[in-house]
Parts: sequence; C-alpha cells; structure tokens
Amino acid sequence: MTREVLLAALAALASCEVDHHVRLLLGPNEDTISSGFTCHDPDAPANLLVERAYDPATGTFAGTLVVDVVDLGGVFPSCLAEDIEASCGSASCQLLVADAPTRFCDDTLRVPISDLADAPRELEAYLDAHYPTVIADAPHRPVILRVVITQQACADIQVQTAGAWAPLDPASVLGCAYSCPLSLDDANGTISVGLDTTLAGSSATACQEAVDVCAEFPAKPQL
Amino acid sequence: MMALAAAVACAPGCAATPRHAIPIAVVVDGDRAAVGALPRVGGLELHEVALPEPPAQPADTAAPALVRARGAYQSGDLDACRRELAAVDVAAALARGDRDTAATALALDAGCAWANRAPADARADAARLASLGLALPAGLVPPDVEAVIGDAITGAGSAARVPLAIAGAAGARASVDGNPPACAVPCTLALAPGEHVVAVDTDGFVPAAQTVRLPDIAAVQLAQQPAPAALAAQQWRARVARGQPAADATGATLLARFASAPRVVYLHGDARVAGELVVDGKLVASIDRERGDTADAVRELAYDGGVLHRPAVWQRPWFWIAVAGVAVVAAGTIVAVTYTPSIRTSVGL
Repeated sequence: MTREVLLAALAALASCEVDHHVRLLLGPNEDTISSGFTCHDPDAPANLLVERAYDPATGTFAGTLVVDVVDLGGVFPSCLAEDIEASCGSASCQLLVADAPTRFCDDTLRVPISDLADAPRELEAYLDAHYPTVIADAPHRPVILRVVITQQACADIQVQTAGAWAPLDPASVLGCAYSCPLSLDDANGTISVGLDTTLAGSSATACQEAVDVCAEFPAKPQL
Repeated sequence: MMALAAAVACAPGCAATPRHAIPIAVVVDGDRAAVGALPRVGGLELHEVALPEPPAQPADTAAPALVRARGAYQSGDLDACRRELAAVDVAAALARGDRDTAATALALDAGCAWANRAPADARADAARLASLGLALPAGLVPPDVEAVIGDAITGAGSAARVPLAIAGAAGARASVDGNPPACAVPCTLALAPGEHVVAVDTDGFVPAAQTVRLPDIAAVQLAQQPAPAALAAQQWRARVARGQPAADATGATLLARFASAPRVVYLHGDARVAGELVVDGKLVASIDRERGDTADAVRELAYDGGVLHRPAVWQRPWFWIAVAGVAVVAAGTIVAVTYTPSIRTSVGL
C-alpha cells in the first residue's frame, strides 16, 4: 500500500504541469477594437478595408484568420516599434517552424454582418465566440503574437520555406495587430494586440500601409 | 532507499557476534515482573541462577545438655552432670557469641565438680569463666561455689593485660570470647591472662575461631576458608537485607562465588530495572533501564563490561535511520528548490 502511494506521488510529481491560457484581446480593452482592423479602404475611402471581404448577397464576411507566433530569437525587446526593429534587424526574428511550429489558419471564416459600419466589432465578437483556442502549446521563448485577417487561402499560407512559414501577401490583408514581446510561460490572462496606425498618419493609405507592414513582419524589419 | 534497507537489516544490530555464545549467569532479585523472562541477546547464553535457600540451622545440643546437667546436679548425680557438661563445646558457643550458654556450662561444671569433691576442677572452671570475662549466672550454684568463682573473677580483673596480635583475612571482624567484634584484622587487643576464644568473620569466608591461652602466645593467625556457594549466597542475601550494595567489591565476589560462573549479571526489578555485571568477581558495569527493558539492559552491560564488542557507529540501526532521514530531507530540499514544473500555455481569442 505504501509503495503504491509512493509511486503515485512520484508519478504526480513527474507529470506535474502548469496550464496557462492567454486570451488575445483585439484592442486595448473589451470595448475598443484595434485600429489595425478598422482601416478604411484607400481605394474606397468611405468603406472599411474589411468590407473587401463582405458579400452583400449573403450579408456575410468571408475571410481567413491567421494567428502567428513570431520567435524573437531569444532576445526580449521592449514594446516600442523601434526597439523591436533593432532587435529583429539581424533577422533573428522569424516565423521559424522549429521554434514556433504553430501557425493557426482558418479560411472558413464566415461572419454574418448586420451593420457594415460596425463590421469590425461584429467580426471581433464572432472571433471571441468561436476561437477559444488557436494555439494549444505555445513556445517557451520570447515571442510576439500576431493576429491577421486576410483573404489568402490557408493553402497558400501554411507553406514552409527554408524552415519558416511563408510571409503573408500584403495585398490580401484586411487587418492586422500584434502584441508586445512577451514570454508566454509567464503570461496568464488577457493580452492586447494592437497596431499604431495613428503614428503613420491619419489617412486610409497610411493605415493600410501600417497593416501591410504588420502582416509582412518579419519579412520587413520595420513595423 | 539503500540507507533505509540497511537500517531495517541492522535493526537487531550489525555488530559481529562471537562464534560461540558467551555464557553468563543471571541472578534476578526484587520484582520479577519488572525483569520478565530472560531475554535472548545475540552472542550471549544467559542462564538464570536461583538463590539457594538458607541452610537449616544446626540443632542446638547445648541447651538440652545444660537442662539435663542441671537436673542431674539437683538430683545429686554429679557424674552425670559433668558428663553432660563435657559434651557442651564452650569454645564453639563463644565463637558464635553465645556467652550465656558458655557461662552456664562453666559455672554448672564448677558446681558439680565442687560437690563431687574435685575442687581443682572447680577452680579451673572458675578461672576459665573469669578469664573469658563471663558473668556468673545468678542462683545457679551454691554460695561456696560462687565464692570460688568470685575469687577467680577478682583475680582475673586485677591481672595485667597481655597483648594479642590477631592476623587473618584483611578486614575481617575479630571478636573475643563471644563479645561483639572488637577490631578489624589485623589488629592487637589487650586481654586478661588465661583462656580466650578468638573468632573472625567476614563475608566471602567461612568463620573461624581458635582458643588461645595468654600469655603463652602473643599472636594468633586465623586462616579462613573461602565460603562455599551456599554460605556465599547466605552472606550475600544478608548483605542485601542490611541495605548494602548488591555488587560492591564484596557483593561481586559473593555473586561470583555462589553463581559459580566467571560472568554474572545481577538484575534487580523495581520501579525500574537495575543491572550489574560482575566479571571474575569484580563489578565491571552498571545500568538502569525501564521496566521490561531487560534485553537492552543485558546487551548494554555486555558492551560496557567488554564481554561483547560494541558495534561501531555505522553498525548501529539508528545510524542508518538517521542517514536515511537526512538523505530524504536533502533530496526533498533539492527537489523543492530545483523543481520547475513544465508550463503549457494555450492561446485563444
């Protein structure tokens, strides 16, 4: 009896695992969506960029959700874009398959939109409700989490090139936001992702360019 | 785990035991329930030695002889009177301290001799009684005989004392003429001239006595034979009854003597169990334990007395238990300090 108890205790000790869960908040708080998902379309300034994927016939948004884990190569820069650029300037930041084997992609996203003007919020609400887990086991290194809404198919996205995930096509991107560098082993709770579009300018073009840079990262070392 | 296994294996003691068990006699005294049955102790062969019963007192032949002699004296059968008194060993009576019997026998014999027209014998008895310092029993003999005895007593009292050196077993109690012990041997006493009975007595030896005549000799050597087992047991029991230590130098000698063994363990049961080990007649170890803890008491006595070799520290079970405890604590501390549980982080929207 004693031996069984001892073995059970040893097994429990050996299998002891701490489970964390991180929820990505697409904006600075629950009520505000990140500007990375609210850019206006430079080709139709009256419309939001996400409306490119809106089908008036069905009244639904049809797009692809991509969540990437950007490995920072062991460095831990601050949240400033300049700091991240400096740290990733040596190309140490990559979507390495070995370090960050998970790229979440779902191109079956179909979101009913009732009010086009409020499409980003409805999109966010849908994502919150339908994607409780997009990465099951995050890496134990400093990373940046990125959430992208695009029109690319997953077949084009989940391609490995030289051990890294294929970069996203900026022409297809509808919205993008990223987190500050963090170690997910130390994280638990809610983490905001965002995009500083206002620093690049208030125009739709500037906003889209910021989204493009976000989506291309780390192919282009500036965010 | 290995330390724990060693601790379990060593529970009865890891020390090497002698090839042949060492015989030890055990004497149990006091509350037997406190001692319990003789334990099994590795390397020792314990056997209990019962205290022999005191020997029966020899029949007193002097008193009946005195009664018969007195009857014969009163009936005028003077030969019978003297014959009965001749069988009374005055010296033996004095050696055992029975001065009344000696005084009665001598005074009565003086009376019988005087009445039987043997005044020389009567005067010899009177002189003997006087030199032995015995008191004249009142009303035993007629006044004329009392006068003879009184003269002898007066003469002895006025005679110059003569020294007598007494030698024998050192420390033996020496007594003269049945009086209480006067000195410890060797010693010199000043005595009245004439006959005296010198007796010596000490534990561990058979009492000895010798009749001497002063001033014919100036010194007497009283050799005492070692006490046989029964007498040694009697003397040991008497010492314990007097409150003397059971295993002091003399007690240890007596224990060894009556146990007839070179190694004797004496256990006394009471509120606790007191134990003493005697080897070759000498006390070599003492111990005190809780009631019933006899096995441990005997084992420790054997260790302390050098009968068994005490196991080295690493041969003792408690050493391994302590090592195992320290190892477990150390391992637990290391695990507690260094253990980092694996973290699994999931991400969702």
